[in-house]
Amino acid sequence: MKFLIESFYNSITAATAPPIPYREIILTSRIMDEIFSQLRAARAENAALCTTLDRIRPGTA
Amino acid sequence: MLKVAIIGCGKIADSHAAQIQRVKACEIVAVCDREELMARQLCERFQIKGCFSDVKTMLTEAQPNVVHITTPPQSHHSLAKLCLDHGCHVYVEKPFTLNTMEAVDLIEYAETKWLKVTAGHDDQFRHGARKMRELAAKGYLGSGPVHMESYYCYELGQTSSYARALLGDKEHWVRRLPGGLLHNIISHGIARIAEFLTTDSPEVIAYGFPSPALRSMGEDEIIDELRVIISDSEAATAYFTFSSQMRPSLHQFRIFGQSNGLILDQDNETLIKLRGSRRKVSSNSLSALSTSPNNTPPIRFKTSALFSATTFTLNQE
Repeated sequence: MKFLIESFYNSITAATAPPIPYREIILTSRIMDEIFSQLRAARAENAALCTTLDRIRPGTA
Repeated sequence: MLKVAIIGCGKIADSHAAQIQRVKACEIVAVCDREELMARQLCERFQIKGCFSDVKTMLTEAQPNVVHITTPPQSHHSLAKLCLDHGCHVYVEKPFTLNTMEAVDLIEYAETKWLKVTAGHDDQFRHGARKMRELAAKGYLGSGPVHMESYYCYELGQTSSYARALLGDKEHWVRRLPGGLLHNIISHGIARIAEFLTTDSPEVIAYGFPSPALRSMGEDEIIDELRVIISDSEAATAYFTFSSQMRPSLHQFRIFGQSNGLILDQDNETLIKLRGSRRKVSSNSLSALSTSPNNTPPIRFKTSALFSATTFTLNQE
C-alpha cells in the first residue's frame, strides 16, 4: 500500500499523471458492473424457473 | 508537507494510517468517523491530533491536501465529491465506487477541478506486480497478451471474523452492494486483467453461485464462487476466478504472450518467467514441476532482497 500512496502523493506534488490510469479504474468498474448484472439476471431467471416448476408440479394448485 | 486526512475509521483505516506514516513529507492531520469513538481510538493509536465526527467540519478546519476515504463503498462517490469541492485530492479505497456511472462522474469531476483521484488497487504496486509490468513493457511477452488468468480467492471460513459478521447480519453493508460480497473483494483481481486489455468494452461471460459450504449454513444469498471469461475484441482472452472454497486460496496472475509467459504469485511474492521455447531440460536447470531424478531442485532463485519478489526461470519440457 505504501508504494501506491507514495506514488499518488508524488503525482500531486510533481503535477504528473496519477499512478493508476483513469481508463484502468473505469474499465475495472465496467467489467465488474457487467459481472454483477449477469449474476443478477441469472438469479432472476432461476427464480422465475423455480416458480414455474412449482406451478406446474402435479398436486399443486 | 502534504496534509492528509482519513474519513472512515474502521479496520482498513489502520492500514492506511500505518502506511501514510511511513511516507516522507506528509502528516496525518485529521481523521473522521460518524462514530466519534472510532475516530478517537484511531487518533490515539496513531497519535493524530485532529479528531472529527463531521466531514464538512473536518475539511474546513483541518484543511487537508489529500483525503483517504475508507468508508463502506456506498458513500465513496458522495464523500469524494465533497472532498474535491474542498480542494482535496482523493484516495478512494476499493471498490472505487458502486458502479461505472459513479466512477466516470467522479473522475470527470476531479479533472474539472484540476485535482487527482486514485483507487485503492494497491496490489498492483507490490514488488512482483511492478516487476511483471516492467518485463511486459520491455517486450518479454513478445506481444500483447494472448491469454491471462487471474485468481483472487478469499477464505470465507466460519471462523473468520469477517465471515461471522457477514453471515450473521442480514443487513450487513456488504450484502447491500450491487455485487454483494464479490463487489467488496474482486476489484484487485479484475484490475490485473484490465491493465492489459486494449478495448474499453470487453465481452464478459460470468457464472456465479453460492458454494455448497455456504448453502450448508443456510446461506443462499451470497455468491462466493465466480468464474468469468473476458474477451478483448478477439485479441486476448482472460479467465477470472474467485473462490472462497478452493485451496490453495490463490492470489495469482498468469499472463501469456506470443513469446513467453509470466506468473505472478502474490502470496509468495514471486514472479516466475515461463520461457516459450520448448527445449530439453539440462542437468543444472530448474524444473520444479518435473519428478525426474535427473533434474536438480529449484536452485536459480535470485533473492535480491528479503520480502521482495523472487524471479526465477522455469524451463518447460
